[in-house]
Formats: sequence, C-alpha cells, structure tokens
Amino acid sequence: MEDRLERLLSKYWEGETSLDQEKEIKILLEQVEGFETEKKFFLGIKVISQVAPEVFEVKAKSKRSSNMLFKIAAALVIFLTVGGAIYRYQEQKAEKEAFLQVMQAFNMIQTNMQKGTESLNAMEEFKHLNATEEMFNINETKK
Amino acid sequence: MKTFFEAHIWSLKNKLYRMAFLWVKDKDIAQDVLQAVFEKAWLRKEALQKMENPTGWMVRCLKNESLMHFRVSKRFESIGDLDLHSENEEVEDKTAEVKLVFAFLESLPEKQREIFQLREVEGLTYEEISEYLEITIDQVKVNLHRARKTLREYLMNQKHGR
Repeated sequence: MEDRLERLLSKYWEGETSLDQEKEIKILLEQVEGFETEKKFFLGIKVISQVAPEVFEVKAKSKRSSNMLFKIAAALVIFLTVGGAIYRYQEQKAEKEAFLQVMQAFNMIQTNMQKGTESLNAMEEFKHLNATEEMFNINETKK
Repeated sequence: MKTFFEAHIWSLKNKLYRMAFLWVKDKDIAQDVLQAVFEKAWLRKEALQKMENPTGWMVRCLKNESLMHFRVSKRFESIGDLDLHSENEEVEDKTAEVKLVFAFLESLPEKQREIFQLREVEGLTYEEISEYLEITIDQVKVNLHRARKTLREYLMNQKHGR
C-alpha cells in the first residue's frame, strides 16, 4: 500500500496522474501511516472542497428589479403623457384668451369708427352748397 | 426538464463560490460576489445560451466582480495581488489544514493558483480547466506541473520546519 502511494505520489509531482489516481492518493493517505504533511495538506483541500454557498434566489430578485424598472418606465410614460396634455390645454387656453382680447379690441375700434362716421353724416347736407352766401342767404339779406 | 440556465449556469454555483472564496478569503464577500455574478448572468441568459463558452464567461465575470470588490475597498490592484494573509482576513473558521493550503496558494503565481485549485479542489479534467480559464490544455498541464513542483518543495519545507 505504501509502495503504491509512493509510486502514485511520484507521478503526481510530475503532473502525470489521472483524476482517478489522484482520488486513490487521497484514499491511501487516509489509510497509511506517516506522510503527515501530505495528509494535513490534502485534508485542507478536502475541507475547502466542501465549502458551499448559502441558498440564494437569483430569478426572483432579477424579476423584481425588472418589474421595478417596468413600473418606473410606465409611471414616466403616464407622467409625460398627462403633463403634455395639460401643457397643450394651457397653451390653447392662452391662445384663445389672446384671440378674444384682440377681437374685443377690434370691436371697440369698429364701434368708435362707426360713431365717428355717423357724426360726419350731418355735414352731408352742406356739401352741395358752393358758397358761404348760399349757406347763410347773405344775398337775399343784402337785397 | 431543466432550462439552459439551470443545467449549465446554476450548476456552477458551488465551484464558483469556492473560487471566489479562495480569492477573497471571506465567505460573506464570496457569497455577495457570487450573487452579483448570477444576477448578471440571469439578465444575460439568452446571450449566454448563444455563447461558445458560457462557463469561461462566468469565471471571467466572477474575477471581475472579485476585483471590483477590492477596487472599491482600494486594497488590491489585481487578483494576483490578493494577500492571503491580510489583516482583515476572517480566519475564525479556518483550521490549520486550511491555512496550510491558503499559505501554499499564496506562494503561487495567479495562473498556477487558479489551475491548481480547479484540479485539486474541484477535481476538474484538463479540458474542463481549459474551458473554465479559456486557455489551452497544454497551458493547463504546464502550469499544473509547475504548481505541483512548488507544492512538493513547500511540503518538504514544512516537514523540515522551514
């Protein structure tokens, strides 16, 4: 058994052992006497090879994070749509008010123009009179 | 029937955890690193399925996450600089045997250390190691041979109390 271990270890140091032979070395080391340092080292390897992670869930967490991103994106779209609609409504309202103010101003101008034109109508009767004499019958007065 | 992720990616978790543990030397940090890697992998599961070597991608991702951890804490510049005897090391659950292994791994260059741990701790074939580390089988053999040569000297020094 010891000879077998010696032979296998010689091959092992040269990197010429198969995985099965390496397993055999570890089994033989547990059975033979001596080889204390090798035993200690391979026991350390064995302990490390049994270390395992705690149970954890990847999918659920990733799904949660993608759901969260989806919710944020949806909220952003709703916010932009509603915000855009309100902005357009305010803009149209402002345009309408400006239009009404302009129209009121035009109406006022038109009314005043009309008043001015009517006051000038009284002068129409005098436009055929050619002279001041005709207007005030000055000739007849002279006679 | 198992999905691609369950069969080819999720099944790597124990090996990747131990790789991270040997790099960062802290089980909690190794757990965080592993979880971050699997979250990234899950988000890229379709792309991983199309990859020629998804295992290699996972190992690279694990290395980057481990490095990221150390860069954030500004302790190390590369995996090769990992100090296995750092003062912050959590040694409470490390036996003398485990410490012996850690001390030996510290003495190895980065590539030899990775190959040695995949062979000795995980029991992977040369082909599997070449896939994990994205290197040739010859490189695996040469580096493993050198690592074992160093191990032989290391154990002899231990025997003689040097």
